[in-house]
Amino acid sequence: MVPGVRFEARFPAIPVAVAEVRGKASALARRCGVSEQGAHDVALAVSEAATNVVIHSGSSEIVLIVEAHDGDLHVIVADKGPGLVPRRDSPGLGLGLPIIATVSSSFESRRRDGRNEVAMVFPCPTGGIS
Amino acid sequence: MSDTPTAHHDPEFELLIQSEPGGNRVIVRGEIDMSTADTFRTQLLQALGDGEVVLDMSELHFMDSSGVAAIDEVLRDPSAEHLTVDPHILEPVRRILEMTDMIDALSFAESDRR
Repeated sequence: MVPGVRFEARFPAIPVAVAEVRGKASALARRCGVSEQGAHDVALAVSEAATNVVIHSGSSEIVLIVEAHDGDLHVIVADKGPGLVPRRDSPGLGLGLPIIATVSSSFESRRRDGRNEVAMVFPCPTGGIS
Repeated sequence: MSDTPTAHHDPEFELLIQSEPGGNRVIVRGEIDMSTADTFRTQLLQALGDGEVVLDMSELHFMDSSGVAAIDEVLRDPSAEHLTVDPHILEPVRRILEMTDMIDALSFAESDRR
């Protein structure tokens, strides 16, 4: 990805869209020159973040933002729901954020400009588009 | 159980049950995430209801925590005593099983690839 170029896409916040969100993110990561494992790490983290949006946010949309700058790949999964709400009937084990923390260089869960964001940083070996 | 594999199809997920001497082999292919984990869990539990099962994930390319949660739920079922796992697991799937310590909860079958 050319430094400074910003990719943004919106997906419906439904279970079958999660694969499309992570597929798009990992494809962009490959264009940053990451290894297969690196691309899988991006896919895994984005899958976890997008799953949280579908399960917990109450939002109708998943927003994916990807940009490369300062030698890193910055990936944001966002929604416009009221905020992550714990669900007593949650189907997961609460592993999503710990997994994101493990596979990303760093991440932050925040509320900004009226939306919830999970902002993740990964290496971008080429520093931009290949 | 029929000798003909039975299959369930989702866009990026396939589960086949193959009859083998002594039980069944459940082969999962593609990806397990929140859209396919329920099918995976349900079909695996159903197969365990028929007896011994070897879970074959050698053609599974992706699993996130939804899949780990599905396996966790299966392991909590009494029928899980009939479950063993084929040790041939692709690296991305092995990695999340290790990351979540789920790998330690699984009973691995002897390596006896067909």
